[in-house]
Amino acid sequence: MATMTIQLDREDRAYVPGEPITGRVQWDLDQGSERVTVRLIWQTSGKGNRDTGVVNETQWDRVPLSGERAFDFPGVEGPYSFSGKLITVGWLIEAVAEPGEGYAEQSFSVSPTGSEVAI
Amino acid sequence: MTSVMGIKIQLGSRRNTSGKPASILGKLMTTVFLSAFVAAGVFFSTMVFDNAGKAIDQQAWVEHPATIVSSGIDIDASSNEPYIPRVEYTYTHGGSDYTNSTTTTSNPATRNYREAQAYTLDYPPGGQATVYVNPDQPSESVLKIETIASLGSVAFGVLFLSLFSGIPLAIIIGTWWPRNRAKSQQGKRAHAARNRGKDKLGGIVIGVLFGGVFAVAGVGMLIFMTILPLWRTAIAQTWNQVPCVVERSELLRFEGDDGPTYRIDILYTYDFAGQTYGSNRYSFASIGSSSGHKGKQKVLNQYSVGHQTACYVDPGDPTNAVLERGLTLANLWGLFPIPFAAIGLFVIYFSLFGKDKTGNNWKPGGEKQKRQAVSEYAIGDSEDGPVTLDPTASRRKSFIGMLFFALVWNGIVGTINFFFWKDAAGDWDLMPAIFLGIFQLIGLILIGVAIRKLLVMFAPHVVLELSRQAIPLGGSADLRWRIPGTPGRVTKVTIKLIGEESATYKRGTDTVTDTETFYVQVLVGSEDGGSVPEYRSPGRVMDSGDEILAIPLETMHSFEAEHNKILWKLEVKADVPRWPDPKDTYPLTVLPMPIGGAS
Repeated sequence: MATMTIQLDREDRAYVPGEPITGRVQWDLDQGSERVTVRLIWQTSGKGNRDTGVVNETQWDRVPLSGERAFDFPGVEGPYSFSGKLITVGWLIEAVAEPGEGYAEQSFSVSPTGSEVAI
Repeated sequence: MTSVMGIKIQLGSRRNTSGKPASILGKLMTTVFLSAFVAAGVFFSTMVFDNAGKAIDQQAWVEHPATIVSSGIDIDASSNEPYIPRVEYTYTHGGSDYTNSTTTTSNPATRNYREAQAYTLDYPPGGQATVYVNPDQPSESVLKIETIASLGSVAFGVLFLSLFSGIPLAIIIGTWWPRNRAKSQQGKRAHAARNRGKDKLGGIVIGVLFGGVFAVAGVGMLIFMTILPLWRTAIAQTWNQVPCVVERSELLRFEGDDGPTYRIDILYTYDFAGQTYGSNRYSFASIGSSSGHKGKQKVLNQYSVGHQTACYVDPGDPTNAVLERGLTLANLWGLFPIPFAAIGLFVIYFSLFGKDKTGNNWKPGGEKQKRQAVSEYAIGDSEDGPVTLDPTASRRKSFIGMLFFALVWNGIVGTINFFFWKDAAGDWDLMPAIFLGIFQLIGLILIGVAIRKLLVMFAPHVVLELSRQAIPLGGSADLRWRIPGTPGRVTKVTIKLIGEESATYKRGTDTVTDTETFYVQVLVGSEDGGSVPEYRSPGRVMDSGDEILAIPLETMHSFEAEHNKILWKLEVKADVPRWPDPKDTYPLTVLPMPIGGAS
């Protein structure tokens, strides 16, 4: 079975606005893939239907079955990670291999304090 | 996934917004819904192909000269299509003489006298004509065969079947077609990630398809029931007025699932340019039949058999005539297709040009960012200059909207009530009367609401001015408020800063939006409604003030996605004695904190 992992350079995964989001993607696929795509995404959860925003993405073509790549996304100013009574907004790095079932995601937070804003 | 008239249509193999595949129930609902379109398309196309098939067979029939023996119009008083053209002719084929009276293979009986009259005018007794004889059975012949029209109808049938049935059928097949389903949770998430944003095209196709059906039907009915009658009414103002005599005056009854409907049939004859013509057109209102017979009977009483009156004749085509060339109450039916056409066109427009559904735009009111693939944030937005805030809802637009709705509602319900009670004439049913009464009561309430909104329009308006348009978290702006005009009417002003969550979701077939207030700060006035001395003093009311609008630091900025929002606003309420108290809401944009700290 294909495995993919994402390692953020920041161990506490708590970023402040403007701070670059960097890390590495490792994969070990069981079939050849044409590309590996890494996306920087915010998404909502909670009572409302999910909204998703793809802020940035990086793509590597004709990747080997096993490999590792570094990604470096410029810092984002918002939206902050927050948790309310109805809505929660979170950030994640998503890596997907095409074709195949290779997938990984890693969540992190973005706010002036690094922690999720609670309202 | 797309939404049509509140109903969300989810394709079986598509993902919903949470990334989960459609359920069996969803697939079944999709299949049942679309199957109706497939069945309707096949049914209508079968009729078209069947008629076209018969007509195409006739292309092999042989032309022969014929002599018209007699022609006229028979009237079948027991039928709702009473006018039957009768043309008798003789011809020779293979040395044998034949006499026949078949005009076409389809039933020539019609409820339109003008159509029947066309045969008698085209085939006068003693005249010559061309008939088409079946070479396999020479006694079978017709005066008219379908040619280009039949081939055209085949083409129409193919096109109709392809669009109306083919597309829904393809969607049904795609819904149930087995796919390489990911066995693991990881695979499912990989599949969702790969399809991110790709279901937009499917939603557009579905929206255009459904909107197109409503739009085509609505526009078609609009042309037939509204535009054409109005056009004909206008043209008829130039027609000649000639004396005519009523030959037949009948009330035709049609049985339907919801009860009988009625149509008047008044046949009148007139002379024009030395020839006698007939017509049974009463007015230009294009409705087949309708319920309510008392009003129609009253019209028939005016035009009894033998009655001499005036009709209006088209001098360019004397077979084209009408009794009432102006607008009648029946023309009101022309309003009926407007909602269908409007809904269809709205759905098409919204499907093609609606909001960016990928949720990339989270900044409130950012039109320029809506088409960008990557959301952006410009710190410079917070440095915009002073601005007068606009309320979320304009009082005038709110009043006009409610007035329009109340007028349409009361117009339709009032008209139905009018005809109901007019036709009832003391003999009415309780249930329909109660039903109509409830609708009329709602109409009166709508009028009351419209009147209230009118009064609110003339209530004092609190004008808000901010020193800058967007305020970052931890930042502040100068807020100036004033009451122009006659401030003495206002005894109290309350201004609150409110932060609110808004989440939209589906509950069954309804779209529901829940809100939750997470921040309230009273800037002007008091929370408990009591008077605040500095804003209210005997004999004098403050008509302006200045405040500092400070946004707290440790809270959430404005956020606006398709379904989820964080909204900041100023809520302003003014107490006006002996008048509806106006309450207006002014949206605010609160930005994330600038990098480097609050400003």
